[in-house]
Amino acid sequence: MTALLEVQDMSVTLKLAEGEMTAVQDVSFTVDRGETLGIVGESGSGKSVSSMAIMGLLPRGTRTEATTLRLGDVDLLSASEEEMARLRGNKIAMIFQEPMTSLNPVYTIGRQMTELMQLHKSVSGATARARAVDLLEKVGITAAESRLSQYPHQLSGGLRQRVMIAMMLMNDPELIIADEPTTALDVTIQAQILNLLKDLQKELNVALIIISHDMGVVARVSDKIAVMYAGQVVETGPVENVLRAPKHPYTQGLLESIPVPGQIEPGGALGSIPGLVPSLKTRFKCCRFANRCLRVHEACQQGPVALQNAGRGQAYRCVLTPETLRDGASSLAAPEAGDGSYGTGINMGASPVLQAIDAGCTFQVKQGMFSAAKPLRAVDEISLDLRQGEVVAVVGESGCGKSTLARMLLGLQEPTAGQILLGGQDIAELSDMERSRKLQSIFQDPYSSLNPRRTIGEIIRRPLHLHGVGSLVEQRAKVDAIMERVGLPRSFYHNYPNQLSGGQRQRVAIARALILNPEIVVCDEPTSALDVSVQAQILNLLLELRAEMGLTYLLITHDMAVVEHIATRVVVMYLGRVVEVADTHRLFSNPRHPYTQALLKSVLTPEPGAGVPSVDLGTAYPNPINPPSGCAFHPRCEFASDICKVKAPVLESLSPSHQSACHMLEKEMV
Amino acid sequence: MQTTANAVAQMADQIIDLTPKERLIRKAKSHLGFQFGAFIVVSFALIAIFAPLFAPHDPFVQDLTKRLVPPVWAEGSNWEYLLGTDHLGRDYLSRLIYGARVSMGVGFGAATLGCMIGVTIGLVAGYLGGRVDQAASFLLTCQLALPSLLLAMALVFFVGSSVITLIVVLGVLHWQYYMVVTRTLTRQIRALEYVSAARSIGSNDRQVLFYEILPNLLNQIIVVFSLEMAVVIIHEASLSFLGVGVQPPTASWGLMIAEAKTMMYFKPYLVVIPGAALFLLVLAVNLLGDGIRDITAPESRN
Repeated sequence: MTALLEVQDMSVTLKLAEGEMTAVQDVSFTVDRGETLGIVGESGSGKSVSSMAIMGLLPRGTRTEATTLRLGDVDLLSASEEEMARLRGNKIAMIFQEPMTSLNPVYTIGRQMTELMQLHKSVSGATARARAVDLLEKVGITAAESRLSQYPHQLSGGLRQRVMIAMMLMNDPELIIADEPTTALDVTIQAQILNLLKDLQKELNVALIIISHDMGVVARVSDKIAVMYAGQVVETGPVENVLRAPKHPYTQGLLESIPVPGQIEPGGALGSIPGLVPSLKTRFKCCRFANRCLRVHEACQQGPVALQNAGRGQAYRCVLTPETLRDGASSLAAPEAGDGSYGTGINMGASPVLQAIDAGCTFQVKQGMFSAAKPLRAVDEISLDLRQGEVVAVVGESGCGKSTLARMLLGLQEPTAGQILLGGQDIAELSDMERSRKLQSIFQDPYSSLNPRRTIGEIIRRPLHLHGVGSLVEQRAKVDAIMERVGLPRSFYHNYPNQLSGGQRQRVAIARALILNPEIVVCDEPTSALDVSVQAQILNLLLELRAEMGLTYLLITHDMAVVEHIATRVVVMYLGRVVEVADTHRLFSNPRHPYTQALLKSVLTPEPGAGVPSVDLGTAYPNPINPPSGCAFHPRCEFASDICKVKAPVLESLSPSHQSACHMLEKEMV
Repeated sequence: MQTTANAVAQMADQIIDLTPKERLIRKAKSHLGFQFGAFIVVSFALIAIFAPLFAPHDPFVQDLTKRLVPPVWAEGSNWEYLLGTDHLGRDYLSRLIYGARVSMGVGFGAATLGCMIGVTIGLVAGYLGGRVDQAASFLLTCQLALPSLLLAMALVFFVGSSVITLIVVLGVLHWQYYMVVTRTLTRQIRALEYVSAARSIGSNDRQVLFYEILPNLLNQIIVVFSLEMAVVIIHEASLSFLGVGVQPPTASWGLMIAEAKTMMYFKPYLVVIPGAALFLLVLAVNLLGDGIRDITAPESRN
């Protein structure tokens, strides 16, 4: 039996202003009907370029070469532009990452769905509409008929991704390529979409390629997996084999650098792959991973490495044999187990260093040009204490108000109710100077948190300059010292931010935050914009610095695995309110609020074949401008009863270090 | 381990090679438009500043016996008057050289004045938003509704014309584009995380505006400046042509065209020469602006 899609030794060369760049080299894989191939890799590994090459969507001037590139009985290499266009709507369908931009905002859902079908098949409008309704129901959209006349902006992100999937199914494709289908979605929605894709694939017996940077997603849904690094497949095989017995040092490192809930010793260092993902503009002569590999060998430097067969369908690209791979040095900077003392020694009786007292923030939002402004409660009367040495994580999905809370705590956003105390003083009364000496921040996006017009040295030295600390020579010495501490080469001093990679930029942001020796650092999603292997480096750095400088962290994040790894206490937020507060260990072992339980359940660990847990929260995240009555979570809660609809629950203590806001707590306990 | 460290160090070496200054020079050397624009603008500026050294004759001395001598390439020309003479027998080359003073001076002066007004309004409106922004936008709408050339004519006519009046009037009437561009960009940049980061390290509003935001607007401001300078140069020529700009006998390119308009059909060089100078200067200013943007844009600093 020949596979539906066969890719053999595909190379893609892109033309750039600076010359040619081989983005993908010698990539081979096959996918058959009913099979799921997961392609996993960090940014710049060539995973998206491969899929675009199959679709024939690469820009003009790009050269795609392959010994075989075939879908069914069509040779994709020799197909004309017209034939490819026919194939794209009909036989291959692609689901993109960003549901916000992949639907055209000026046409209705119905028009976009039926147009595709009428374009490729000569069917009547009525037939097409009937099919559209049919498919929308299939992807779990209620009131499908009426959705057809809606515009994309009227739907939430999760719904839009469902519409996108339904649209792709209109013409019965044989192959679906999903490029990061859930990256832009919230974790609780992610599980639903993945389950949907998986079910549809089984039902319709199509081939599915899922491309993701998230090992968890790929592990849960794929049958086969291809790990890509710097434009090559470094390891491939059945998902069970590759994840349970990874052969290539990169795969091993990647798996080790993911914090896995339940197996984490809090405070221990994660295993990490040193160095950076190489730029594809590099001309590779030998093994592409050699410069980051701790088992680098003389043989690695002697020319390109071919894929070796490891049996049972598994193959990997390394000079070492399975036997030599097993012994010898570890493939990555060794993870260090925490000594169990992490988080101890915090005096919970001490007065808090940072405190929010019934702090709230309400924005006035105008929905239309003539409508009156409506209040939007971004943060609703939150009380929060931060004590010396703690690492408090605030978790929640997008729109829950956690970033507004962070801005209030930083003194960048004035609370409209309550107050924020820094060391016992109202933060609004402190001057910028006083506040910034104690309180610093690290932002989410290292691409926008550094001024592109300033050199790295200027950026890091700026706080010293503003605060007038020391002479220029002393300031430069301090900058040198902190750059070395966070792992930036001194030679970066005169470079501009855009010459650095994401991980290096985040190090710059950390250096800038720490140069004034603050007591508290607010980290707003410090690793969410980074690649997995780099995320581990940054988390380890944050932990080391905490121990060295006695820092207190407030961590804002949506990533539960990161939380379990470094937080000592967790605050779960939903729609502007705190629903649960607990010690990290207690929260993960015994979550009490239904929302916390759902959040924990939707974490996807890279466990092959485990399937995607079904998290049924029903409807989408509510619009904060029209919050549900009573408990804001009740429309999505399976335990909800009548009282939840009318009365908002308050935080109740379950133990000295565990509070939860839910009416149904007692009943669950029984 | 050692090998790894070396390899990593080598990779880092590839990235760092040039200092910022070297990088700018390298890029300027490969940008033809910038070089051409800069060459023309700098030469015109030098000629304007040192006009007495370059001009072969006094531009104001009339010699009616030598009226309308054609330029050297035409028949009946005279090597003493390279570009011929005008209807009053004044040396055309000398007038052209002295005219550059007016064109460059008014162009640079008025564009700078407009820049200061527009950037200030734009920065404040974009950064503060709210009512200030609404007021600024209203001001902008009013300004856009005014026929600027007509208004300039009226103003100059009332105040009495001099080069300074021209600069002030044209400057005050040419701030809209600076304001629109600055306001939009300021609003965008204000929402970026490096502004929040600057606030959290203790910068106040003034420091955020001047250290974080303004430097990131420079590219666009320079481009608008070059466009506006070209527009103002043409406006000055128009006003002089219409008789409300620079007054005779002062030499200005627009005035030269105006004075020659009756002879346009049988002595075309009288119009073509100042017109060509105007065209060349405006083109060069535009090329220079584009060049500066390309060279200093941080996006392409690789």
